[in-house]
Amino acid sequence: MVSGDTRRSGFDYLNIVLMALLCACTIYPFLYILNISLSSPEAASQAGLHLWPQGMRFTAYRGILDDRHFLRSYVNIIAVTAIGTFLGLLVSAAAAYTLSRKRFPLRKSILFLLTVTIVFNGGLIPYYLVVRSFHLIDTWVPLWLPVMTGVFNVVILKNFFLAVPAELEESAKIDGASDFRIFAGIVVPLSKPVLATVGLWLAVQLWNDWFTPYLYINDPNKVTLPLVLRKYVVENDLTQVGSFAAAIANVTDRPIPTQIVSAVIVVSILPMLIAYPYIQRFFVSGIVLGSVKE
Amino acid sequence: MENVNPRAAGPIKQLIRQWQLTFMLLPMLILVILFLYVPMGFLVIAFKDYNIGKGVWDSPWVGWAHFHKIFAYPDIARLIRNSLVISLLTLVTGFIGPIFLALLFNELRRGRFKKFVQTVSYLPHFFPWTIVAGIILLFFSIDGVVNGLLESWGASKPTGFLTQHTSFIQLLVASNLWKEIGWGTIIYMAAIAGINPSLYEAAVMDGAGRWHRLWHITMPGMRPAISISLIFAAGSLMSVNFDQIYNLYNPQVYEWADVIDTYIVRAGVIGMQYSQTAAMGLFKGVIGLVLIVLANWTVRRMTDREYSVF
Repeated sequence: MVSGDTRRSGFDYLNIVLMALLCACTIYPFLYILNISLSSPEAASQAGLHLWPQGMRFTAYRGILDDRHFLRSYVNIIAVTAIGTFLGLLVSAAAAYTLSRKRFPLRKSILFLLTVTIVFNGGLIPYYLVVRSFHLIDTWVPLWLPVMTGVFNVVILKNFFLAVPAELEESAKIDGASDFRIFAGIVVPLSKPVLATVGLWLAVQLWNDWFTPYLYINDPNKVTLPLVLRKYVVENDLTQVGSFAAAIANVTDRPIPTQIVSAVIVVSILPMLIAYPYIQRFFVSGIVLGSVKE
Repeated sequence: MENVNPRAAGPIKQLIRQWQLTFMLLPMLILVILFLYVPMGFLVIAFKDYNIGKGVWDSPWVGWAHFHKIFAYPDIARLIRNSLVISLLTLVTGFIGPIFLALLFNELRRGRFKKFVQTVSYLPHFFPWTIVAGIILLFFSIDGVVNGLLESWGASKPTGFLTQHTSFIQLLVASNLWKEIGWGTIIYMAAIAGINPSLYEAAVMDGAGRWHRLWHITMPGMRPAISISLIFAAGSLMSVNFDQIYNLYNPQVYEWADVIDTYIVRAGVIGMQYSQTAAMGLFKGVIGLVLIVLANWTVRRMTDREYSVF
């Protein structure tokens, strides 16, 4: 906001350099990982900055593609995210609509009941025991619970629904429309931006959640990507993906473990990287949305 | 829960008459009661000797025994100390960093470069700690990238960044800053965008330089946002970044990196000491509740009830 002067001073140049450094620090680790995953095993095992891939190989990726366990987790996380986003949005928006209608009795008390859970809850161990006592271990339900009980999202949606003009609802009522119809036919279409924003929050939350599956999912057919990613990348347990990669490559061209880890990271963050330029503004506007009280 | 009061007949009739609204609220309400309120009830196991076979109801009462045990336990002081040290360091850097960065962003000319830098700076926020931890392990482990570079520049032996207490804590602080500094600027940029541009124009007319404008217009404009985030930072003093620590730490740094939350997962979920860790969680939850309520109350008072989380 330097509207007054038009000349760049020494500070401006320093600032530009600082900002370029910030970008470099942010981007470089990702670039490094991409380059390592695409390099030849000999080049990848050399120390250095690896500013570009040396000796272009796709063996690490072919290894991953042959890893049924990893692919399964990838398909699973897509399903979990898609279903979870839909369920979370449906449950939250429906509740928010009811809570936004002033004619609904007890709305203040119920809102209070919901808000309490933002500041206090039973903590991890009681929650774990409750989930277990409902026999929800090794199902995807625990993954969806947080998005369906997110009180903060409901408050945001409720505040947005309050802004839908009351006249629209009244005229629909006169035409004999039920609450279901008003919700589906008037409120939802008018609230597309906020629904998209909240939906994206939920989707990113679901896509990134590693701790819930870490606690509740053991069945190899139900594990999701973040859990497998943790196993490969954090616990460095490459027994499965490594063996496939080794089997597929000839002896001299076997990708080194660092390459497999890098390739796993690249494949996992790819959807987010592609979507990021389009979705980030929803999150930025969401921060402002969240900080404004009704 | 709602008490039964003389007007109760009214609301209940209303609930039935507006059954469609009631129906739309029910899924969420039931889930919240089952999975957020029932666990609060399960907290009684902190005062019982919980046994999976007997269940919550039939397990014998032990009163405050678990709490006595926890506080007699020599490691609890270490866990509390580590939680406080790590969260204090993370909060202070995570509080100051974004303010500085927002001021620097603000000094950039509007245009593509500014937009690009901001967009890039938000990026790491969107990746989970599993991935960020994986990258850190790749870079800082004993045979990692950084040690490889140090060696090629003449270091005689590799440094154990992840196994030495000081460097591990530094890594926690730095990686948190790397991941969240850009994202943290958003509330300040919103505050700056709310400053009346005519203030800047008038200041320029009066011959105020860049530093004067920063100090007398931008900073005062950011002040409410700054005080609010400071107070909420103070309110979250008891909560450390579990995801970050759990994915990065290793037994060699437990002495300074093991915190209440990581201990609860290890001893509770994995070690199955449910009652004792539930007691520990309750202790932490109550302190956290007091801090958050205090913080919220302070912000409400300070901003004339304009801002608050609840």
